[in-house]
Amino acid sequence: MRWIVALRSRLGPYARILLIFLASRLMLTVIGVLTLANFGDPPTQDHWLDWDKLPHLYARWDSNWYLSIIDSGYSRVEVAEQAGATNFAFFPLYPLLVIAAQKMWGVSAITAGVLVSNLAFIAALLLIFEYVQAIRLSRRVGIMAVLLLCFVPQGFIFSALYTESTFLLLLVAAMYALRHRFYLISGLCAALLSATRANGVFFVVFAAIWLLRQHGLRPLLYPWRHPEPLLPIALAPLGLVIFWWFCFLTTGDAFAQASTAWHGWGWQTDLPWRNLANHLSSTNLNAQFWAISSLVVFSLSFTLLRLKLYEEFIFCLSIMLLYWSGVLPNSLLRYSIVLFPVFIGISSALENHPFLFWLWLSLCGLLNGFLMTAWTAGREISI
Amino acid sequence: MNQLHIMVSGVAMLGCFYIGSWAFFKINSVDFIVVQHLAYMEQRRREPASYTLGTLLNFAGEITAATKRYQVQGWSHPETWGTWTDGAVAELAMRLTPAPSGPLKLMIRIQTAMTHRQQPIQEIDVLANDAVIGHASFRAGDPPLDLNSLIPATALNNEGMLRLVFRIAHPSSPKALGMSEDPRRLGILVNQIRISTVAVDAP
Repeated sequence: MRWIVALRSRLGPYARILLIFLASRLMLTVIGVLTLANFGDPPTQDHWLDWDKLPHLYARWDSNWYLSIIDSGYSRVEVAEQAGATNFAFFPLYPLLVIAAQKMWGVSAITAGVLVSNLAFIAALLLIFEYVQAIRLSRRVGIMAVLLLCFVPQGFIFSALYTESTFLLLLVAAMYALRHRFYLISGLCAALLSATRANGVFFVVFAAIWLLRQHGLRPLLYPWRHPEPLLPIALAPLGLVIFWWFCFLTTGDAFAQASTAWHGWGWQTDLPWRNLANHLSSTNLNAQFWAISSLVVFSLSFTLLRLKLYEEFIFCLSIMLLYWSGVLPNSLLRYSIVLFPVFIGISSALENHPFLFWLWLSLCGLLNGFLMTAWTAGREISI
Repeated sequence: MNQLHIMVSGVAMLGCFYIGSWAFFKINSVDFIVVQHLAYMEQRRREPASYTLGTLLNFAGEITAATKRYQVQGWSHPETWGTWTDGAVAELAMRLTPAPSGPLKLMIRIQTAMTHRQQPIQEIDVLANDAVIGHASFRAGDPPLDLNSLIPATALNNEGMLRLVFRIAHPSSPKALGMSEDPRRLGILVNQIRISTVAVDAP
């Protein structure tokens, strides 16, 4: 009987997490359908309500680039109205997963993409809950972090044909495995992470600081004596380097991703503070919104210091500096919300302040609803 | 060989693989977009689209598909009042039909030019098959300018190939100047171009 009690207590929070996930996706889908019914689908202006096409609600903007990779692979052909833009700007792991899902379930690319994203998000939420316990915080904090992630502004992206949920899952899996000293698993997840998005390679920052705190300088000074903890750091860049080789063999340019992002989208780098100052003083309200949102996420990451989660904090800091070093303000909010430790920090800070927590969650939910409307209507603020 | 040795060798091999790959790519990698654009430009120069003398080329609005065929480099996307040059050189290439037997008249309508406080005058040189055939100065607030130039017969060849090059003296990016978010290096806003035969007066 003891195992039944154990199973029930184990299933309890999992069932709650699934319920939170379903409720948040239902809310977003209802908002999307209502937006379509009232404003029409941006490309066609159709006011459709075709249940078969429901997954299309989560395929917008960059989804089309992923669909082009899924349908016909990488191509050097540039888009007519966007010189220099090719699908080499997008990393391969997510499209590969969608192709596998498409073959396995025999569904359309969009349906497969949305399924992969949602399944990855559910798995990520469950792992985040476990991660919270691994760092010795309460289950309550775990559920609160899950709630915040499900209702975070632009959180609909975790269900969309985008890489965010895959990235989130691999990030939490790599960190969780490292904290449990499953070095090889952590390294493999990190390698997949850098094949999902270039900034996945920044996992080495987390792993290096964790290593230093746990083992001191020994593994770094005498790697031949203690090679195992170095596996995550050694494996993390593998996905990125394999993608570079693929790009080199197909285009002659290993850095094809950076080349096309520069020529096609104008991605360049500058000092983070200079870029932030430009975004904040810009006349473009969206640029201001993205910059302020990213600053809010970053300022909330200081809650991690209170918990002595220094590895997580420095990881978030390094990723934010990377984001801010891009001269374009686009998508800063979307990029920031994959930094799940921030949500753990907020949850822990608000654990004994339920009113503040629910107030914060409500405000997040409202903004998420607005951004879902903008996403469905094809407005730039949602990219 | 024990597990420890395998792991040490694995980590060392990965490190060598990364460093070796990085060094190899740094030496051998070339920007594929630049390569594609150069190949495209070369093809446009070698096999330019044909142009019937007297046809008005419209650079404004959405009816510019025909005009785009002649653009080799240095042109931005069409806008309501024309197409901006982007960079220090903008180039057009065309095969004139019928192949001209004498000099030609070139008319370029410049809607406006990129000027700013530090650079109040924009200057443009126009070259036909590498021969300078025209020059224009554009000040802030000037009305649209019709630049008329003569393309001498000596600048033309029997095959009717014509390369028109606009050299922009001071291309500037509104973003760099803090005027807007536009990163393009703007020069002149071209509205229309027409190349026609020179009318010969009756004796």
